[in-house]
Amino acid sequence: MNSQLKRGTLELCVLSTLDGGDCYGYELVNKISQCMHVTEGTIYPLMKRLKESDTIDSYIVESSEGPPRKYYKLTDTGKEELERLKNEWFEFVDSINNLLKGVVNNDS
Amino acid sequence: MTAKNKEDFLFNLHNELHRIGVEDSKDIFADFEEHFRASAEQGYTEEETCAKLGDVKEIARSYIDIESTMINSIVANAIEDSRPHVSLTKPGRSVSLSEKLTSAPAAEAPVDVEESPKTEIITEQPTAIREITPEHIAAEQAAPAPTAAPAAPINAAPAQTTNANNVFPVIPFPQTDSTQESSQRTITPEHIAAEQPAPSSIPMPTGGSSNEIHTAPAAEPMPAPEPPQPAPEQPKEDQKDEHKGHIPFVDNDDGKGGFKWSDIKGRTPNVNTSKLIGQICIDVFVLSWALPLLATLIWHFLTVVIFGLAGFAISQFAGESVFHLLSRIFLCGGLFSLCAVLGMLWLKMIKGFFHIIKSAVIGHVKAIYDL
Repeated sequence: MNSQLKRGTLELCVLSTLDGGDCYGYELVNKISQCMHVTEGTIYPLMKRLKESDTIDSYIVESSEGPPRKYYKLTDTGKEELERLKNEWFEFVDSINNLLKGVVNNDS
Repeated sequence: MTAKNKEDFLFNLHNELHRIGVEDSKDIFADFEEHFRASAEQGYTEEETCAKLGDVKEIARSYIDIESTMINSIVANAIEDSRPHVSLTKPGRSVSLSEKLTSAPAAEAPVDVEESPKTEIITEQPTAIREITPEHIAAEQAAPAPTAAPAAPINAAPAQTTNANNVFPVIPFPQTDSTQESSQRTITPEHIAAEQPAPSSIPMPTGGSSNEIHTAPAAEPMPAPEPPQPAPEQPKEDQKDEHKGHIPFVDNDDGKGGFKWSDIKGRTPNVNTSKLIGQICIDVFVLSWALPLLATLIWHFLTVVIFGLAGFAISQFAGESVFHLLSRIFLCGGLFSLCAVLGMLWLKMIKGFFHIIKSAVIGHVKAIYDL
């Protein structure tokens, strides 16, 4: 997959994964790396950035069997941002699809 | 650079973050330690987790949140200026091989296939920052080659025609030249030369030059295999980073040549062969050749030129007896001042000498510990 494309979509993936429910770091990384090929380590910098921009928030959950875990959740601004990104994404995909279909039709 | 275990990973990450000026690293470490824990619970070894996490340098650079490539290179330069002993832009210090490879668009080596979106965000920066690295230049040189190659036959064709026409005006060869493949054309001058033994002395340069031209189209497929060439060097990069031990606290040590003994405390020496050989070469050059040469030159200048000329002048213009008298006066009075001067000079030289020794030792330690 093209690097520029991936770069744009990773944030969307993180936000929409969190929209499905709060996750802790490893869980989130796992979910994302299952659907797209990422260098897992670079998701954490993104999380930090998103947290600094108040798109997501984190809270600590004490666990009975091990050390406490840091969970991430979407903030209200995060939800708005997700909606915006989703719309942008679908518009983008639609227009590219149209273009590609046009090219294929012209070829054949 | 892929770490072998958690300690390694966190150590390298710590160094990288510090190097590129990311300060707030406690949270970052907490995140990664949690990741390692959770990964271990899932039954992954630390090595596997490290491999999945990816290149520490890329991760570290992801913490610099700047989109524009242009701004990035400026920032990188600024960081480098503020930390004169740390190089982001100079080759050999911080550039990992995979970054260099991705900087060339066509050079997607197998190593890089498993890179991530974030990886790419970063690799875009180094492209701008590290335009000077030799590998990069090599990769770039490989890229324009295909565009140059199609031009070559066009240039070759007229050259060929003119050569053929000049030497063998009688034979109407041009039409084969323009229509046939360049590889076939290579034979024509020699072929003609063989047919016409008389002008064989003249065609030799012609054949040589046209052969040179024809190697250009033949070299056209070369750029493709060239980019992955650095790939075999990958293992070298890997074994370079076999630091063991705890994470030392790295201070802002600009005034100390970027080096503190505490930096290497608890680390296993890791001989980087090329760096060490470079150091030794410099030592051999400086200590056994350049320094003695300089010292000898100064000494000869002092003794032979100044004293010799002065003595010669006195004995010539004032006579032998005056020369003897003067020489004794000079010896008595001058010796004291000479001693003082030489003594001071000697002190300076000793100081300078110790400075050289010190920097040589630090250079070796840095090379051995791959700092």
